[in-house]
Amino acid sequence: MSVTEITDTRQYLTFKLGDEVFATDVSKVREVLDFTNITKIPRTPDFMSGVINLRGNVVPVVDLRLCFEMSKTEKTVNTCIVVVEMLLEGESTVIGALADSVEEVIDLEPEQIQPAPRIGTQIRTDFIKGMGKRDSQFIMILDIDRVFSAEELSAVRAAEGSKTPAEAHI
Amino acid sequence: MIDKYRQAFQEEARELLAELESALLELDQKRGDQEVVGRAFRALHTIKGSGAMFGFDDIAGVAHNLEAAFDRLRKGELAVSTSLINLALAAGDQIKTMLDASAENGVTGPERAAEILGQLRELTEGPATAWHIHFRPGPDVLLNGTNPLVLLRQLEELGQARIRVDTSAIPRLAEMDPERCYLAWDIVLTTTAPVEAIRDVFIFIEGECELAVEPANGPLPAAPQASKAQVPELPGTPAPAVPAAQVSGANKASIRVSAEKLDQLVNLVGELVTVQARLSEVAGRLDDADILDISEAVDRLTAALRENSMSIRMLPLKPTFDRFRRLVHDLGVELNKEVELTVEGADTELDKTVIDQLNDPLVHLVRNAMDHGIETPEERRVAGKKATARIHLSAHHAGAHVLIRVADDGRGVNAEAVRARAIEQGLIDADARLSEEETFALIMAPGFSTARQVTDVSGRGVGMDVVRRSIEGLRGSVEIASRTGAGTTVTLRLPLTLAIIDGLLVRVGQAHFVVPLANSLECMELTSQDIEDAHGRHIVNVRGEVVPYIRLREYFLMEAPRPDREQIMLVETEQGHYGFVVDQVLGDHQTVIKNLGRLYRNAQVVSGATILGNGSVALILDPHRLVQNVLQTTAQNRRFGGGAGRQSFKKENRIDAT
Repeated sequence: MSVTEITDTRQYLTFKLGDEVFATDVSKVREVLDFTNITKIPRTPDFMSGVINLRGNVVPVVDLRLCFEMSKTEKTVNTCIVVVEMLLEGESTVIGALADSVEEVIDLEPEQIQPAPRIGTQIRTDFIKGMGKRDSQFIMILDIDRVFSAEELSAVRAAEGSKTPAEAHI
Repeated sequence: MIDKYRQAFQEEARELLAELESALLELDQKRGDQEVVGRAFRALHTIKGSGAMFGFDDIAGVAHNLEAAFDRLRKGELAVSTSLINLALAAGDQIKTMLDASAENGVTGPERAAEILGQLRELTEGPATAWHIHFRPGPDVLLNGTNPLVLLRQLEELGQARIRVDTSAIPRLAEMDPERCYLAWDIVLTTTAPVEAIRDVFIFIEGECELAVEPANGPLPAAPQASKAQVPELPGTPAPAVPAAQVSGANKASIRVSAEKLDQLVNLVGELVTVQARLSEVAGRLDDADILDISEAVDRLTAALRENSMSIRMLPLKPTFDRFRRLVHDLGVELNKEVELTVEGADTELDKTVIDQLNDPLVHLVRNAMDHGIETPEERRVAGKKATARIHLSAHHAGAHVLIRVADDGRGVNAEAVRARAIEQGLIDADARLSEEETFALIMAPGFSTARQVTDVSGRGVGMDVVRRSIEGLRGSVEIASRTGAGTTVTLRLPLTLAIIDGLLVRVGQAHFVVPLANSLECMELTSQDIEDAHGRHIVNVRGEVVPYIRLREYFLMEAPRPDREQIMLVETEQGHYGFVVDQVLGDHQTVIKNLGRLYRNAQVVSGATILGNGSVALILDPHRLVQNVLQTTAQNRRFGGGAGRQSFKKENRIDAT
């Protein structure tokens, strides 16, 4: 979680969830898609929006807003799906993330990035690699691998809470 | 060029070794079965023959000695013993090692081979095995009435003789005296007879000939194929048992194709099927008779092509199962347990990809059964069981799935111990009420198995989460059933194929689902009369049979209103017949299965997704798990005292989904 970990990365894709600006390492991003029909998989947690057809491949899509305890993403003309390739339990996985709008690719020098503050942000600090500053705006740089692994685990836990424990294991 | 042949030999030899191994293990069970001995012999014979032909002299040497032993078994001169089988297995392994080494152009140390051969010789032949006899009769031997041929025949009676004539001393015809003998013989004699018996053969001409009898070591002086050309075959020399081609070919013409090419083929067929779905979608929309015609023809062809390419990838489980004979045999020796492995349904076919990934989990399960499940012979006797334990491997079809069972009659799993440990580890609450099935499922929970000592108490569980994960990776599932003292059965439920299935496409609201055709029995209307007749219960009468149904709309918590007319499809699951109520059954659909990926591996009732002609995604339902899930939920409702019936069932679901 230290800033030194990210000294090599210079380019970030920024996107908005609500009014907050987030960024992710551009090397993780495969492409950005317009919003398309998402097929919901029944009886899965809400933050798992469903799956889409990406040129013949089935790609899961997650609602980042729900991951960060914001309200559900409403579809607008700006809504996008950011397709990222990341490690899930050590396996390379392609996942789409819903974003209210995608902004731009920016350069951030390592010295422009500060460690994430422990308090004062809406989302859990362990999802954030660091805080970048651009003009007067703060940009939260996401640790995308961590978001999904942690989120997934807590989702499982939440699911377990509502069912009896055994059912979660079958 | 030569390399190509050598490679072909290596592939062939590996197959033959597998055949040898299975024959050996079968022989262990059915001692004295001549047919099995014959199989082992033929495999060895072919390995030896082609090994020598392609210059694998070391391999041919080992195979030759082993073959000699089996020849004696065949003739009934030797009895099958455990040590013989163990030794033969070791020799087989040695040949495999040699093959591997030659494939990498490495060289194996000859020590191991020599050691095995030495043991083999001791076991089968007593102290003396192969003798190298050099026999050169004096020139006048014919004059005093001795016929060298008779002597050679006598030698042959002592054992297996390989005779090579040395014609180097024959002078030119003009100088040749027909009454003199110019020939000499080199004989390799494999026999149990003492050296004196060999010398006795030559006793009458001992003074008149050059005779050297010494133990033979290493490969034969010349490869058998080479010698055949030079040596006039003596009458009575054993002919090769069966021509090699007949053994391995088994009358079927076949070719070898690399697995990679097959994968490519199946991928292409998968894409073709998706395109075809688009074509029929477009054709249906345009409603043009010509295009519809073409579309239907393409449809038929794709279906046939798909079926064909799929069947190419289907392989029987036999080789996989056969490997376990060896494992059980070796582990039995290692752990000092007497275990008999029985196999059922080894002809069941599965997709190659599934089979490839099935081996490790199965090894794990069998090892577990041997290690923890099965008791020592003493313990078994005390418990009043047969000293010889049994592991039963079976496979059979169930709809679009294959069930593979590993059953043992060991001590079983102690459900209480499992439960206690699960509570201790915080996997369940202390007051959780679990069915037996659910309790055993805990063994496979990640983290459960890390504690070694529990697994000893429970008798099972080392790395069961790994097994579960890899089976789930194949879109399968694992179930454990056990009775304390009576044994444990682990059932693996695997899809027939990972690529394409026949499905029935249905619609509920705006969503499309595919139900595997293999599970579907029939479809019909669900009339309001039917609903009325059942008085609010979810059951329907199908020609006298009462079938409970699940309304997918309710189960999936879809908000769209119910249409006036619904359809019900009957599916066959392991829990019996059930009906799924949908808005509309759209028809059959060739379904290219797309994995949902790791993120959705907890999705229980959906086994995958597929892409429809219009580009949207349809979900593939797993009827078995769906029904199981509903049954569990309702069972829990009852257990937790919630009101039975639809109301609470719906409530429960709502909680699940949030």
